[in-house]
Formats: sequence, structure tokens, C-alpha cells
Amino acid sequence: MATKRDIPDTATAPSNWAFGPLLLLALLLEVPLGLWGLTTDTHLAGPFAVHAIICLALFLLTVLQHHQTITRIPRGRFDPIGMLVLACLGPAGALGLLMSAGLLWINRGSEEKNREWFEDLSLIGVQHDTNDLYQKIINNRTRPLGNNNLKSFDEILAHGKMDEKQAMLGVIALKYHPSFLPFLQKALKDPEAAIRIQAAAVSTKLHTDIKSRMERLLKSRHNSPSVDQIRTTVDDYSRLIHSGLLEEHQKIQLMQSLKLFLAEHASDPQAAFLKSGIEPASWDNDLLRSQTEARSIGKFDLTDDNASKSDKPLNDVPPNSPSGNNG
Amino acid sequence: MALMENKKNKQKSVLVRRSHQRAADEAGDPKIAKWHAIANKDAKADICLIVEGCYPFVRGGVSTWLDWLMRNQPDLTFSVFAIFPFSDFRKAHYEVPDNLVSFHQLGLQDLGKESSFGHKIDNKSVKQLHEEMTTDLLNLFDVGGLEDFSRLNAAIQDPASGIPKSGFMNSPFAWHLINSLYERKMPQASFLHFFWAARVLLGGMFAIMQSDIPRADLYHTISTGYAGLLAARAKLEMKNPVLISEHGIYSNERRIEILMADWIADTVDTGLSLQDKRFDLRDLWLRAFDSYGRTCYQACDEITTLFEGNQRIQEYLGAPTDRMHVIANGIKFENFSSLEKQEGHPPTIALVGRVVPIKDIKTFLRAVSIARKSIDDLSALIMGPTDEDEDYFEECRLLVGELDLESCLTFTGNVKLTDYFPQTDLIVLSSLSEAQPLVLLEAGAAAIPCIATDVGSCREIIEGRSDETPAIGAGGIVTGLVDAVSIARAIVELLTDSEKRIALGKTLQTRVDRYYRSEQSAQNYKALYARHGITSAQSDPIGDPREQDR
Repeated sequence: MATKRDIPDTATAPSNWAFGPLLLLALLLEVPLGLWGLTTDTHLAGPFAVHAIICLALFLLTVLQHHQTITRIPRGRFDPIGMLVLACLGPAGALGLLMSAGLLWINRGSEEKNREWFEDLSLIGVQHDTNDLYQKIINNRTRPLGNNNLKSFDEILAHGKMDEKQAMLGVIALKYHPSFLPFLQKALKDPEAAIRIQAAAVSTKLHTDIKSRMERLLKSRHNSPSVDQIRTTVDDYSRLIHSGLLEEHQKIQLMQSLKLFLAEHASDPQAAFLKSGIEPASWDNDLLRSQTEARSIGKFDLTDDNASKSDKPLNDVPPNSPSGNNG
Repeated sequence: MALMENKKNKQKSVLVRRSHQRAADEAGDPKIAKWHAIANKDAKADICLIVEGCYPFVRGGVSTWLDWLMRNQPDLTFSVFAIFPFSDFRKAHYEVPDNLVSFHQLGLQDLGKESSFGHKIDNKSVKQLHEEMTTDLLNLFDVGGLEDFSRLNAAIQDPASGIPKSGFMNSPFAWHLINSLYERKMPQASFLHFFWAARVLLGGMFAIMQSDIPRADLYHTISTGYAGLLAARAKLEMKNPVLISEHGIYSNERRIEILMADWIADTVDTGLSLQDKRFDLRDLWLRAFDSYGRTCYQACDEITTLFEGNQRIQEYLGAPTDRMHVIANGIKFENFSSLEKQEGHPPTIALVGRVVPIKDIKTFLRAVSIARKSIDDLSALIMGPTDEDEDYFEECRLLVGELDLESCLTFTGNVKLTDYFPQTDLIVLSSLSEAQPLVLLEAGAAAIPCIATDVGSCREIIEGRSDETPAIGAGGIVTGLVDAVSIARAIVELLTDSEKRIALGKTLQTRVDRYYRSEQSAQNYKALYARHGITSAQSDPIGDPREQDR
């Protein structure tokens, strides 16, 4: 999370309104005068003379103010120069300038708004993939390159220490993918009792997770879903069917439900296309990825309608709450 | 002398009963009143049992064992120190044993009211205490043990430190402590997550450190974790013997829970790397419970468990091997050995257990389906309650239909085993996890051979312990987990060879008779206490602990 000191520039420029009242007065004089000069047949020399005098006065004041400002504030900007140029354009420029001043006056009290606007644009202090990545890189929390080789699981099961095998089972539990199943089955036959116990616990957790997701999917109702929603739902079905964790009758139940869903919500060509997409490849997405990890990369699991509802605060389920020693 | 002691014990027992009766008269329900009568009573016991998350408010194997332990040591007095998340007095599921003289309860998350301790963190002595405690905590959570815990405990107990007896975790000092740990251990992580994790972990530990230890001559904990920390404190402060008897291995159970926990935020993206050593919140939880376990093991004079397999895990978690030995649980042998076998029934196998995922009933069903191809008239029973996980039961029923087993498989529900054992040829256990399944012992006592997965003490019960002398032989067949084919093969092998089946049944009966009798188990605990100076007038002579285990 970025802090204020990370903000590269200030949200609002320093303002100097000492010159303001004079400029305002000049503009208030010039606009009606100019408009009067343009709408009557009166000789224009008068209004233009007044205009020239006002411009000269403004110019002198501006030079004086400019000098004072830049000597007091290093890198200070002097906005009235721009305003003076506009004022010199005559009554139309003065009118535009007056309107700008009016807008500035209307927004005079919204410094906080300006800061928010600035922070929104700069994406600092908000949850965003870009910021997450930036923070992960500077804090050394990013995924290491070259360590995603599944072969290392085989190596660990054959020759690894107990804590390595336990960590592997932790990964299988939290980041499940069907290709992990053979490793889980091997772990169930590990010579170490502690590993067999953990493998059994992982197996139970995965089956429970997949079952509850299946139930949610079967119970979900869709009223006129968008194409994206249809695709997401079909993806969910696909991942469950190819999870490797369901019984045959459960797969059949899901396939029947999917057929009904497609018949209700997808046109024939769409349905055919979507059916062809039901393959294990959709497991490349993060079906059973831990919710907290998904959140940490700014994504929620789309298969889980109740993800946010079921997220409990840390102190709700501490493992120190004695979970029982009842064998 | 012995007579005097005996008289004293009897008087003590009478007094305890009278005290219980008085309280019962005062309150409505005599069962509840008895618990209230001994709650927080300042009565010294021979043995203080330290329990976490079970007795007397939660039913289960360990709670039942605790009740059995007290009732089977009638000459000794006990107190119970029960640790729960909160200290609300709930309905007790067990009656107060006559020799239970006091009951104490601690809520780990009862953190007390606000405290101003440490408000002036710049104060020299407070600052020094803060520095020392931060270092000790970091060491403890790194690879620390009893030594680091001892220093922390000394600071908490020292009246000069000014640490309040209640509300410590709600003090500015605790806030600064958590801040310092965060900055030194994992400043890259989310402070919010770290704060709550540290508050729960430290809150529990400080609650243990700030509780009053009941007076007793010996402290007996049934797990590591927070119960183990209290036992370690008793060792440090009361200077009395401390024992641990684990059924499941607490630290390992916590490890498994933490490694699979979705609610712990992973702040480091390790992908699938298992060699990544960057410290994360999950490591904090793991190391905390590992260090609690090491602290307890280092403090204990003897470390017992139910079977050898657990000892390897205890050793891995830091238990000194020279203090470890096994005391198995036992059964009433005669209740089952006297059952007469019935003839003229079809080949019958039974699984005894609750219909829940951990028992892996589905693998059993698949095994039955495979075995039935070889044994036409096979009959299979599933004996146990089906209402604990109704969804799972429904899935099992669907699988029965899918495998076409309706005609040969019966869910009997909860039944009396002695009614069914006479017509059962084989007991099958397909569990994913067990400690010491009593059903194998009960089947063994009835001379029924068993097929069981390689979990808990199943292998030890069926094949015997590694140091069994003389070796008795196998009393059944051990299979892999989730392996329907192996289970089916074993079923067919034993049901088609009645000579072998009967021989295995006899072998198992011999083993149960020799090593797994309830009286023998009670005697072993009596011997364990006696080795540490806790004897009653009727004590028998005590021999070598490893002999006593048998």
C-alpha cells in the first residue's frame, strides 16, 4: 500500500491570489465595456483606449507580482501571466477569462476532491494490479522464475525431507490442479505416517471444496445472462467436470445441468462452440486457488458467488481455538 | 503406614463426595451442580490433568479416555485445567468422577479490559523490557524452546516488570511489541494480517502465562500447544514432574491445518516453488506452534503416546527420544472374547464406523463391488451412525446404486456390536485417519481378523510392534489408503481361505489379550505416575517402563 510520501507530486499547485482582486476588478470593467462597444455604433476608439490602459496597468502589476513570486518560491509558477495574455485578447478573451475564474471560484473549496482526483489518476493508494505488482517487486514478494517445474514434486516424494513433502501437500491443497492428483495419490502411500495423514486431510479438503462448488453451481439461477456470464458458467462446469475429484454420477449430473443451461441460454451455434471448449485446459485458471491469494493479486474467484460472504476475519477462526483433541 | 495412607485416602474421598453433594443440593441439576461445586476450588490434587478443547464439554475419544483414566486410578486425586477459546461454562457431558477435586477453566481469547501498561514506552525500564521481550519472542518463534519461553515467562511473572495480570494484550505495550515484531520479522507483509495473527498467537500464550496454576504434585498434559505451554510453566515454577500423553500429535495436526488454511493470507507469491525460503504469515503460524511443541517436549519428564508411528512424528517435532514410550489404550476383553460364532450365514464383512468422509466409505463400497465379482453371495454391513454428514451418506447411497450393491450391502445404523460380531467373518477399516481404532481391538478380542488401511496404529495392532517378543504374527492384512483393489484382494483372500482367516483371527485375539486390555492400560498409567513419585497406598511394585508398556 502506497503512503503519502510515495506521491511524486503535490495534488494542487501553490496558489497566489494577491493579484486576484485587482485582476477581477479589471475584467469586470472590461467585459461590459467591450460588449457595449461591440453592440453599438459608437466609435470604438474609446473602449479600446480604456482597454489599452487596463492592459498596461495589468501588465505592470503582473511584472511586479511575478518578480515577487519567483524570488520567494523556487520553482514557483505564476498563473496570472497566462491570464494576462488572455485578458489582452480583448473583451472576448476577458469574458473567457472571467468564466474560467468563475469556474475556479465554484471549485475553490474542493482541494480534497482534487487530491482524490489526483490519486485516482496516479493509482496510488488504491488496490490495483499495477500497484500490487510494483509493491511485490520492491518487497521481493514476486514469483521466482524457473521454479514451477512439476518434476520437482516427484523428486520430493522420492527423496525429500518431511517438511518439503508437507509443503508440497500444502501447495496441492491451496493451488489444486488435476495434474497434482498422481502426487496426492503417491503421498497417500508414503512411508511416513505424518505424510499419509496430511495427504488424507488434503484429499478430504479438496473433495469437500469441489462438492460445495458443485452444489453452488447446480443451485445457481441465471436470468438472461450476458455472453460473458454464459462463458464463465460453462468454464465453471468444465473445471468441475475435469477436476478428477468427482464420482461418475456427479459428472453425469453436471453434464445434464450444463445441457439444460445451454439449451436455456445459448443459441445453437453458441452452444456448439461452448461445448467444444469444455476441456481440461480451462483448469489453467485458478479454480481452487486460495481466496486470499486470489485477493492479493486483485482477483476474486469467479466460480465462487459467495466468496466475499464466506471470507471470515482472521480472528474468527484462529487455529489456537482448540480444535479438539478427540481423535 | 499403608493402612494409615489408605484411611487418609478414604477420608479424602468421603470429603470430596460430601462437598459435591452439598453443591448439588444448592443447585437444581445435580450433574451440573457437581461441576460448579469443584470449579476453581483451591484443593491440592495428586495429579493435574491439562486438557485443551475437549473434556468435559466436548464428547470424543480423548474426553472419554480422560474420564476412564480418572475412574481407573481411584486412589489418586485429580484436578482438571481445561483450555478453551472462551471460558464460558457450558454443559458438561461427563459426570464428575469421585476423585476429581477441582476444575479450572481458561479462555485463551478472554484478553481482559484495556490496560495503560507501556503508555510511556520511552521510560527506560519499560523500553528495556520491550527490547528483551521482542528478542525473546523472535528467538522463540525462530527455533526456540524451553529456554526462550522461560525468559519470557520470568518477565511476565516478575512483579517488578509491572505487567498487568489482566488486559496485557490490550495495552500500548502489547501494541508496541507487535509493531516491533512486524518491523523486524516481515515488514513487507500486510500489517493488518500480521497484527491479527500475532494478537491471536501472543494472546493465547500470554493468557497461559498469566493464569494461576492449580496446586498438584504432578502435571499431566494430553497435548502440546497451549496445554503444553502450561505444563512447561508448571515445570518451571512448581518444580514438579510433568508428563505428556498424546493421542493425536497436536503440533502435526496444527501443521496440517495451517498448511491448508485458506484464511491465512499469502503475501509472497511462491508459485509452485517448494524451496522458497522467504518468510510469510503462514511461516509465522507454523513456527509458533512448532516452538510451543518443542517447549512442551523439552519440559516433560516422560512423553507417551498410543503407538510407535506417533513416536516418529514426536521425534521429528523435537521430542527427546530417551523420554519417549508407548502406552496403548485397551478394551474390556471378556466382553468380546466370550461371543459364540454363528454358522450358516453368507460370507460377511463389516465396516464399523461413522458414515463420514474421513472413514472413506466410498473406497470400501468400491472394494465390495470388486470383491463381489469373486464371491457371489458376499454380504457387507456398514455399522455406524449415518446422520453426522447426511450429504456424504446420500453420496454413498448413490454410489451403492451406481455399483449395483443394493442387494448385498446394508447400512445398519448405530448398533450393538456384540449382536453382529457372531455372524461377521471379517472387519474392514478403510479410514483415511485414525489414532488407535478400538474396533480393531474389539474385533480381535472376538477372534475376527481385520483388514485395515495403514493409518494410526492399525499396522501395529494387526502385525505387532517392532519389538514384539516373541513375535505373534499377523492378525489380518494392512492395505494402502484409497486403494479399493488392494482391499478387495485382501477380502477375497481371507473369505475364500477359511483356515487362514480363522488362524489370523486367533492371532489377533492373542495380541489383544496380551497387550490391549483395559486393566493393563490402567496399570501402565499407574506405573507411569509411580515412577514420578505419585503412589497410592495400594500401589503395586513398579518395574521397567518398557516392560510396563506391554
